[in-house]
Amino acid sequence: MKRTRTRILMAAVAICFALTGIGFAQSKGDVKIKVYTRWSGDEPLSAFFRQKVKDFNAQKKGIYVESEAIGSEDSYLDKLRTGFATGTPPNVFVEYGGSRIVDYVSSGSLVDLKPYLDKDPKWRDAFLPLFDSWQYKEYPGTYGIPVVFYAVELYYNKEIFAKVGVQPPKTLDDFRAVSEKILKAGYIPCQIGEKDSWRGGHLLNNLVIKSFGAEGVAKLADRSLAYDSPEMVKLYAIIKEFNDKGYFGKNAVGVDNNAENTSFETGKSAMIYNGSWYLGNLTQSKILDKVGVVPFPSINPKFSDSVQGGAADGFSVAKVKDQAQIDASVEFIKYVSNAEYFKGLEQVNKGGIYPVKFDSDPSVANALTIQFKDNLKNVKEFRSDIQNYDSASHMLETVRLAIQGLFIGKTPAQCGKEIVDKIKANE
Amino acid sequence: MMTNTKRTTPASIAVFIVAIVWALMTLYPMLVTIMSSLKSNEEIFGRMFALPRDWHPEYYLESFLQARMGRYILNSLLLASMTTLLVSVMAAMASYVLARSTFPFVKPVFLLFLVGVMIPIHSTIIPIAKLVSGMKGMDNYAFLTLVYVTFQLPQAIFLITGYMKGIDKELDEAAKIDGCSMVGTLFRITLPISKPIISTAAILSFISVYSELIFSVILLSSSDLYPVSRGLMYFTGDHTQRMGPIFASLVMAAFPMVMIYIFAHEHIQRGMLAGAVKG
Amino acid sequence: MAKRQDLVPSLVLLLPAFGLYCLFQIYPITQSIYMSFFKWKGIANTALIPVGFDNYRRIAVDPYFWHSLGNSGWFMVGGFLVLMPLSYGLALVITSRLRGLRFFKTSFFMPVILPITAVGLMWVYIFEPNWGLVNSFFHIVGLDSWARNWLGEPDISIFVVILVNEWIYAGFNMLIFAAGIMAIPEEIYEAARIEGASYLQCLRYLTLPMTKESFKIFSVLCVTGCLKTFDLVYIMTRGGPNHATEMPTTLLYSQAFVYRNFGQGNAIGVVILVLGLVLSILLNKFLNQET
Repeated sequence: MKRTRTRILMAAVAICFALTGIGFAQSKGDVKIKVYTRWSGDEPLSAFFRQKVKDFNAQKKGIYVESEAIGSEDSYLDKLRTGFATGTPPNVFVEYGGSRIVDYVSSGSLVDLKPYLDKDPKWRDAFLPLFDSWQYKEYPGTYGIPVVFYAVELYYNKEIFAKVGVQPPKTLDDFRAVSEKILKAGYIPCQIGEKDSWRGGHLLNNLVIKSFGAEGVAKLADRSLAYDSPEMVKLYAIIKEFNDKGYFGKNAVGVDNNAENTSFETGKSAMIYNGSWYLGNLTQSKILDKVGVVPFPSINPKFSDSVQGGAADGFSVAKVKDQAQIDASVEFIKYVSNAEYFKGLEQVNKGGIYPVKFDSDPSVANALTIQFKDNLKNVKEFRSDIQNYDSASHMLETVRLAIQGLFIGKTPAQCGKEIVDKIKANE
Repeated sequence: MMTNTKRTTPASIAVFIVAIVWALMTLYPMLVTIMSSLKSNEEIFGRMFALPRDWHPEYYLESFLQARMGRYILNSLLLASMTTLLVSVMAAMASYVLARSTFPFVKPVFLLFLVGVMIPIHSTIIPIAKLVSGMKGMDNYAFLTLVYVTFQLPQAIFLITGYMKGIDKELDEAAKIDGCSMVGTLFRITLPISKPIISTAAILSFISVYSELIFSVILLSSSDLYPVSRGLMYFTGDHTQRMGPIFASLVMAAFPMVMIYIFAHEHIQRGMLAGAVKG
Repeated sequence: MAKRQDLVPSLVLLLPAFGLYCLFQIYPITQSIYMSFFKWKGIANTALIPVGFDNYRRIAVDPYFWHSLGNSGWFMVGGFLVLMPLSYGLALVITSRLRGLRFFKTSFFMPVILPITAVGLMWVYIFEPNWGLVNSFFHIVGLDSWARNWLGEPDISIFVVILVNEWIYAGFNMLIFAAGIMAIPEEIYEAARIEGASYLQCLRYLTLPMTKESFKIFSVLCVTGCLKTFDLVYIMTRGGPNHATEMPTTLLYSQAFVYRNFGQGNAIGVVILVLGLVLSILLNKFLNQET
């Protein structure tokens, strides 16, 4: 009895080892590079990227790409940061640029890609002017290339708007008036999932960009516009006012982004401000035909063509001793950022916006995607997360958490003070 | 406690009611998880606690085929069994010395193990990652297992030592007078009596290793080696999470654990009854 | 007592565990203690800047740190007032001769078996303010005013998390107590019953005193567990809203991994370690005195 059990156990262990021992299709002498991305799931982008890595390896250019994808942002960052901390970073990784990677840039851990871009003008010139997230005043050079282009706009439910008898808001005052009417009709005007603090962060981004434009963003970053200045406190007050009036739904701080999306997709919430990535969700949802999209309401008419958007993810290359690995890394990122790559991506994504110029195929896109793209025609300037331009890497988290305070009863003044205190404590 | 015989007394009825209430409280979330594993996001957010309207059994297929949960469950079972085996053997041996010996080094060593119970895991991530990559042990089950073992050892040693200290010393002494060596006493007397606590420590190690996340993320990179926790992340995208398939994966991951627990607990119970008769 | 001939076998029995443990735990933790006296951005090729005790000073003046210690304190209060009696009660149930014992044993332990991400998430939804189970229940029975934003209100969110923590770990500690209870020889109870002792008397004069070691084990595990708890809080609230449920470990994590103040993060780790050690030694002294 006992012996049989031991045997079964040993057999099981042996099978497990056999299963795990399946080797890699990699020939000797290849330059091996490690690539980290967030694209792990079954959505079109992830599947497309996986296929492209396979294609690249199949070309047998003497390079073998070992791609690791971690969907959860926390785990992804844990792995990336540990890699840099222990001196074993990936050769290529995906990040948002700006203050998120400034510490890697300042420590000389990343490769300046400018010489490589200049050597291949065809590759370089295809990009839209989105490099600001990977260029720094203090550190000359280009430390990444954009691979995801995004913008934030206001999606609305046409059916609810028709029922209530309102037009999509053009200005923030319109937004207020529309929200009041929608609220009276028994819908949530614009549910926010503030349990995920980036939602409030994006709201503030839009308020800042629409009020002060790109120059305001720059002033916040160099502290000539203080986070506790009256101008900023006024914006915090708007967030608080709207939340207190119920425009963002009841208990917004207890709702997560997933539930927020669902609230819009099930016709409970009439509006949602969200990025271009959300087009993908809507395309798969049942309410695609009922959804319209307009630019985020303007505040200062002077900046109504300033928009939250720009490069989201980009590829950076880590500096390693072996120049062959660096060259291989550049070769790989070229392969997954050229016009042909994005043309293929447009097909699987059924439309969308991309950081590279290529002859787009309009037939694949649906009406909503076309409208979304159309809204961006007159945009003068894109700015991403306003803390991206900050020199302190903690600011993104700091500001988002302080904004969360507005949803649990803290005053606008307290919100400003919390941010300024944190800046001081981290100096 | 074996005193509460099958007589029906008011006390036993009260205990029974409390037990039922708590059982409902622990099973209900499990039930909701199973229900949610058949629902789309649309139904989960808003109607989570109602029966599904649209059933999605295909989520199980998705998590089996796309997220490769079957493979990852086997991987996790392998990691957890190797760790548990090593932890139980090493901890039982060490605890015996820590509980019974009076050499001057025993107390400090025990204290050092106690420190291990308090180490916050995030303080050790970078040093351990550095150590393992320095030993060329990245992406290698042997090293990951050793790391897991050292995280489980302190608690196991703490539990087993505490229990062994409670065992009557006369049994040991008697065995020694009969000519048993120290090691002989351990295997013939102390280990059989300590079975309940060793199995408890083993179950607890097994469970925490089975769903461990952070070190598997940092020390493993080949997708063939991923454990359960990595598979659970498959349906988490950049800005979306498909909750239905995530719950389906969770149910699949939990199933073998429940089976193992039921089996293990029966086993312990029998061992204990045997021990009680002997004692 | 300590016989010379036992020295070699003792060392042989101790060494595998101790050696491995020193390599993968003690060595890393000494590194982490060392690093707590430096400023470091967490990038391999950058310099460590010695700052003496500055990292500790920064923690001491951080109001969130004191708040997080307070939260740990609440966790401990909950541990001794709710978790201990609860898990002891459950241990009594599963060691009794109740009908359907196998069912109870399995269901009580279910919260421990499921991955903590799963149960944490499930409770987040149960406490969801708009359609969560708890609030829906209050609406149905007409107690609308009892409905709260359980995890969104800073005054109550920590207590909600603590209750969920007790729900999970009741099964865990039940096993520890059960092991202690089952070690009591049956003959003792038989003798007591012949003398005419009631169930409660047996419990008071036999079971409780004879499971003293289990209480000691529980106390130490509870105190240290409360200090270093991370996963559940991170899953349920991420230390929010607006820092309300911050724990020492969530601060450690955000200082080290988010704000890149690795020195300060390590310093928090050291404080957790020292506090844990001091508390368990005090606890042990106190519990030994009781005898």
